[in-house]
Amino acid sequence: MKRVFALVLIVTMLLSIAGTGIATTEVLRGTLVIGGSTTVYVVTVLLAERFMEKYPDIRVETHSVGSTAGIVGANEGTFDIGMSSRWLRGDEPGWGLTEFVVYMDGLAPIVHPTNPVRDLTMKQLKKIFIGEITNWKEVGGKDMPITVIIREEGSGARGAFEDIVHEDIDPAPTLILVGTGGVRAGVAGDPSAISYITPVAVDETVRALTVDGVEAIAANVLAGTFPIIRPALFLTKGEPSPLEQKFIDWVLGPEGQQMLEEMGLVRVR
Amino acid sequence: MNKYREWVIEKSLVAAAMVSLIIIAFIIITIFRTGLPLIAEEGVFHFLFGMEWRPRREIFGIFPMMAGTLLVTILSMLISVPLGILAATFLAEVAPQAIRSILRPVIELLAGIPSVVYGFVGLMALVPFIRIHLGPPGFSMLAGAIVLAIMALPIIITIAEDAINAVPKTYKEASLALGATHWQTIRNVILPAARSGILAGVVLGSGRAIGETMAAIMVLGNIPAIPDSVLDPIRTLTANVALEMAYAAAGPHRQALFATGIVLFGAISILVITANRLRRGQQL
Repeated sequence: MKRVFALVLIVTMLLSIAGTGIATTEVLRGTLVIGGSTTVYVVTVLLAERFMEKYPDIRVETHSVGSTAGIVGANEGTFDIGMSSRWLRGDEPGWGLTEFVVYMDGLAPIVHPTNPVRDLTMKQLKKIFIGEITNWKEVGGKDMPITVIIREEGSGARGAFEDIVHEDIDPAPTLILVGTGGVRAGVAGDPSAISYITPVAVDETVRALTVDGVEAIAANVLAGTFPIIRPALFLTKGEPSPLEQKFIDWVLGPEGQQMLEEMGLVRVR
Repeated sequence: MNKYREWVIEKSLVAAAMVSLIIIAFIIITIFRTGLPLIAEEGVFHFLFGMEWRPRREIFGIFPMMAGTLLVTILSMLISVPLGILAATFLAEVAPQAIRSILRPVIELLAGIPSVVYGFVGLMALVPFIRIHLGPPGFSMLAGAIVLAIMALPIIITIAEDAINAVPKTYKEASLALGATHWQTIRNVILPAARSGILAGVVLGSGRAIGETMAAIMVLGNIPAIPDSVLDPIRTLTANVALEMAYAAAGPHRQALFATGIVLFGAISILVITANRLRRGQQL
C-alpha cells in the first residue's frame, strides 16, 4: 500500500515537473530514513549533517543496524536507503535493489600493540581464522595461543572478510563480539588477540597488520594492492525517488566525495 | 448518573487489563506462527538437540545455547542464592533499623541500574581480571555468571526478605520462649517457615538471569558451543536472538530465531508458574 502510494506520488511529481517546466527549481522536502552497516553509518552520519545544513527542508535519519539489516530494510521498505559494507550475495541480487558504490574501504587485521608480529600473508590469515594455525609462534610471534575474535553474524565486515579471506570454509573463532568498537576493545584488552576492522577505526589501542607486505591505507586500497577491500553501498528499492536521488547525488558529487577523502576513505568519483 | 460513571470506570479497568492480555496473545501468536514451521521442518529433536548452529549453511541446532543458558544460570544462582538469603535474613532479623534504612535503598538502586551498565563494568573490569588471573580468553561463562548473579541479587533479597517478614511473629516468640537462641530460631523456625517464599525469589531471580541479554552478550564471548570449563565462552538463547536478529532475512534463519524465542518462552513460563505456586505456598 505504502509503495503504491509512493509510486503515485512519484508519478504525480514527475508529471508536474514535465507539465510546468519550472517545478525542477522547487524545493524538495521530506524525511529520508537511512539504515544499515555500522561501518558506513559512522561516515553517513557526518555526510547527513552537512547535507542537512545545506538543505534544511530535508531531514535525514540514520540508523546503525548492520549491513544485512540495511539490505533487508531497503528491500522491505523500512529504510529509504539501505547501507551495506559488503556486496550483495545469495538471493539478494535478485531483489531489485539499485546499488550505488559510495566509497571503497579496506579491512585491516588488527592485533594488540605489544604483539611483535607485523605482517601476515593471506594464506596465514586464512589458516588463523579457520583454526589451522592456533599459536602465534607458527607465524613468527611469541609462544601463545591465538584468540581469534570475529564479528557477529550479519556484519558486513565479517561477510566481506569471510568472502575474501576464507571463502567457503567456516571460521573457527575463540570469541564473537558485537560491532567495530566491540572487536577493537576485545583486541585492545587481549595481548594474544587478532580481529579485523576498517582502517578508519584503527586507533592507538590496537595495531593494524600489513597483509602480504601491503599497508591498509587509502592509496593501496585505491591501487588495488591491498587484498582485503570492500565497498560501501547505498541501496534503494528500484530506482531512487527524487529525495533519495538528491542525497545520493550529493554524496557522490564533489562535496560528498571531498568529505570522504578527508576522512581517509577512497573516493570513487 | 453515578451509576453510569461507575459503569464507565469499571469497564475501563477491564479494558486496561485486557490490553496486557491482548499484547501477550499477540506475542505468542507471532513467535509461534513464525517459529513453529521451522521446528516442524527440522524436527523437534534435531532443533533442540542439534549440536551445530551454522545459519549460513542452514544448520540450526540450539542445544549449545540451551546448555549455555542452563549452565550460566545455575552457576549464577550458586553465587547469588547463598548471598541473597543471608542478606535477606540479615535485613529482616538482625540489622538495626539504621543500617536497614541505608541498605534497602541501596539494594533497590542495584535493581534499577540498566543492564548495559553491568555489562560494561563486567567487560572493563571482570573480563580482563579473569583473563589475567584465571586464564584466557576472559570472556567466559564465569564472567557472565558473576554479572548475572549481581543482577539477580536484588530480586532474591527483596522477595526473600518479604517472605521472612511474613512469618507470623508467634512462631518466633514460641521458639524463643522454648529457650532457643536467636540464631537457632532463624535456622530452625523462621527460614523453614519462609521456605516457599524464598524459593519463589530464587526462581524469579533465575528468570532474570535467563532473560538478561545485553550484559550477557557483552561478557560471554558468544560462541555457540558446549563449554569445557567455566572459563570458556558460551552463548545464551537470548544472546542468540539478539546477535543475529539483524542478519536474519525472512526465511529459515529468521524462523530459527523465532523458534529460539519459543524455547525461551517455554522456559520462562515454567519458571513463572513455579514461582507463583511457591508463593501461594503450594507443593510443587
